[in-house]
Amino acid sequence: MIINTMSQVIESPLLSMLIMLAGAGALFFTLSRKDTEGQAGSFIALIGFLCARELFLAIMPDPRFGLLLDFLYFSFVLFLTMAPFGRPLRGWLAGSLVLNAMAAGLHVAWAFAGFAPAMPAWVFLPVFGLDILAIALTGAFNYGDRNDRARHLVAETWMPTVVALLAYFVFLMILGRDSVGFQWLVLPISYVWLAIAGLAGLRIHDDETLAAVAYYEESIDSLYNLSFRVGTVFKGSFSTEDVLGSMNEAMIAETGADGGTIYLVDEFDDIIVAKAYAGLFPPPFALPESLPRKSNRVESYMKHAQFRLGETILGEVAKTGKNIFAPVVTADGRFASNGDEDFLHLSSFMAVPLMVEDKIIGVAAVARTRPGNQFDEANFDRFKLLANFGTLAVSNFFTFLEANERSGLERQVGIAAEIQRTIIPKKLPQFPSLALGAFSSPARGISGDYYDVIRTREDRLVGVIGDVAGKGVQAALIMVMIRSILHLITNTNKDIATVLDWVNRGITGKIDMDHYATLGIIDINIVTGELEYANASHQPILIYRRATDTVEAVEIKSVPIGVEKATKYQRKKLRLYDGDIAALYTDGVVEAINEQGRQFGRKNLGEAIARNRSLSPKEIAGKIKAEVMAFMGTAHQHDDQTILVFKMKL
Amino acid sequence: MADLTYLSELKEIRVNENSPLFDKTGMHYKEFPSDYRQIRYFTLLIVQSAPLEIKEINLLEQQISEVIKNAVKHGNQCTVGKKVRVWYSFDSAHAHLIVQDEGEGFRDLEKWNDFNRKRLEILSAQDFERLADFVSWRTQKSDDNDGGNALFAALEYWDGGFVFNDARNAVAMLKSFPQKKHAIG
Repeated sequence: MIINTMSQVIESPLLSMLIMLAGAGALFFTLSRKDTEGQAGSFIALIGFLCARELFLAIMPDPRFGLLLDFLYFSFVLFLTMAPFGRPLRGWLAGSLVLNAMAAGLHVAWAFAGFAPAMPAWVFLPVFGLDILAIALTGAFNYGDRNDRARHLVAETWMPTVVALLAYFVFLMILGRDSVGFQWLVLPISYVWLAIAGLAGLRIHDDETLAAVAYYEESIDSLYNLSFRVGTVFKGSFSTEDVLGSMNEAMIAETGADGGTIYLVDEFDDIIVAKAYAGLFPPPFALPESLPRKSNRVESYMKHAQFRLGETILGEVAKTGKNIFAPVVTADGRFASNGDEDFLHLSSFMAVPLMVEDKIIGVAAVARTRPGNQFDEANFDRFKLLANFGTLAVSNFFTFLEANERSGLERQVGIAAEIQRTIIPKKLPQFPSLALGAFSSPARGISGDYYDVIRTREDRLVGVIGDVAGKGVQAALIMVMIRSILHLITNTNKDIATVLDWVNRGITGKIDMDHYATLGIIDINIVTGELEYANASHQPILIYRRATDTVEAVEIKSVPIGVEKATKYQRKKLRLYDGDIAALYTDGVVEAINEQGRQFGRKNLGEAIARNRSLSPKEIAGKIKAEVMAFMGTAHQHDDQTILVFKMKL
Repeated sequence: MADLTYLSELKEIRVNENSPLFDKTGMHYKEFPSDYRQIRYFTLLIVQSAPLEIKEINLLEQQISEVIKNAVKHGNQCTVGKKVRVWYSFDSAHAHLIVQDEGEGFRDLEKWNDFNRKRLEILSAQDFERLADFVSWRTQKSDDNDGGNALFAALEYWDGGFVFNDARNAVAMLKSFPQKKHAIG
């Protein structure tokens, strides 16, 4: 049939055939929008080719072209059927395509170039038969293989394909291409397999989507259970064991295991240590020979087991980070048998590393014990998922614990520093005849230095400096006690050594904590400059004498506050004259070390006082502070530094 | 035959004034009178400069206290006029200490090592009958308060070395604190 007019087009079967192919094409087009991995593109190409073929044959109804295009058509279908199976069928596919190409070539030579004119036309027919056979065999042998969408599609559609191609071929032979029956009936119907394939492709895709949704729903349920269990523990406990215990139980429940265990990599050593153990979890490794095969002994062994990294199957996971999935333990050479007792029978086993990014922090393992009761791939997937998310929760918990501990330390340090800051006088009194100055710079975490100035009478002033041994809140508490006692008793007419005796008696032996302090104390007459000095093992007072321009250190040997209740402290009477300077200071000043490890020393301190003799005590304190800082340079300040300066102006 | 493999890692008190442990560069320094009553106080003064991160601080305090006690009691014979000098430095990984007294030095050092070696041999042979004689180290100068065990413990504790100077009146010691290899948090 040669088409010349529009009416011929309408009256010919071409239009319905194109509509038929367009319908199938639309199905594959829809599929290709949903699924970019599958073969929808190849099917669309095939349909495009068939449309072109029908148009071409309508214009050029030469049976020689018809047969040639049939070779192409069958080759295309061969490719679509065999290519999804990859390497194993690659040879067969290539062979089939070469055979078709050779047959097509021979046909061209025979039909168009007059090659071997004696050869009968039926010579080419077996090739089509072989093509159909190859498609049928591919489909039949791989019927069970539905590992990806393309193979699944072949499994679902190979039969209609074979039937369609067979019908096409047989009727082509019987009726001939130009017959009305073939054109109107056989050809359109033979294309129905494409529509079937398109529908099957869509259905396969939808089924997969549904399965994925179901999988994620279940996974989310599992994760919810895990988070719920672990979260409940967080509310009541800060113990690693409790948190890992709930994680272990969640993993046992969600994988349908009979028991499980969790090991953590030790922070300091290359070992893993059992942290959680629940249910029935027969040892997956060889138990020590000497361990009695009693269930309670084995269980207690498993609860406290530890191994070097790489040792036993669990240590191996912790070292390599590789999962172990052993659905059938008895068929697996990696497991040792520990005995015939029921509680030692391991049926199925899985272990996964607990990883935070690429760092392995532990191992989780679950087991089934009943013979024949095996974990499947889905259990393994779920286990891996839970291990990933569980590890995230647990590592957050550890981070929290560490931060909590650190902030506990910081808070302590902060509280102590705050107490110290609060009880040190904000402002020092000044008098026409006596000026005072001070500086105190606390070292982080120490908070042991204390100074105070107490006006006890119109003309009397008590100045005190102290250094509590130890650090933190404890030291600060002792400091508060000393200060309270001092403020109570300095107002009496007792001499200054007796004040120390009383402080010592108040502090010594009463409280169950370290309670040592050195104290240096002076009682000075504001008007006359007469001064009494007593000392409880504190640094000797430095006195600058203006008359001689010298610095003397006045020492009184004694023990610190808190050593012995009956200690009698001694006092010395001194006198400050016009321009004289007295300085009380703590260890931290004279023992400050520089980068070379040299101490600032009492001599330097004395010289600094003498050098700045004309300044006010406040300025002198400031100068000394600057000098000590300059001396230390970048060296770390390891102790509080305090200095209290008095200057007489008569 | 007794298992002698432990000899390769035998811990003993050594004498080596040139040991790097006697390098005082950068160390803090304090000196104390030999007043037995104040040992706890002295210890506290030294330990207070240890960083907060050191978790086994009580054990460290105990060990430092023992060394100072030795210097006060056995070195300076509790003569208050005699000084104990202490150089010390701490960081989160180490404790380094040098303690010097003004005494005649640890004369029985070799004897002590012998005693300790025998004790370890007996321990390793599990000869519990003879072990009774080697439970504690005592000399004519020991009194009832001397357990005689402090040095055994010190040798175990100061894992970076426990070394005397040539005059044997100063001992330098180093402890390394375990560092995290696998931080989890």
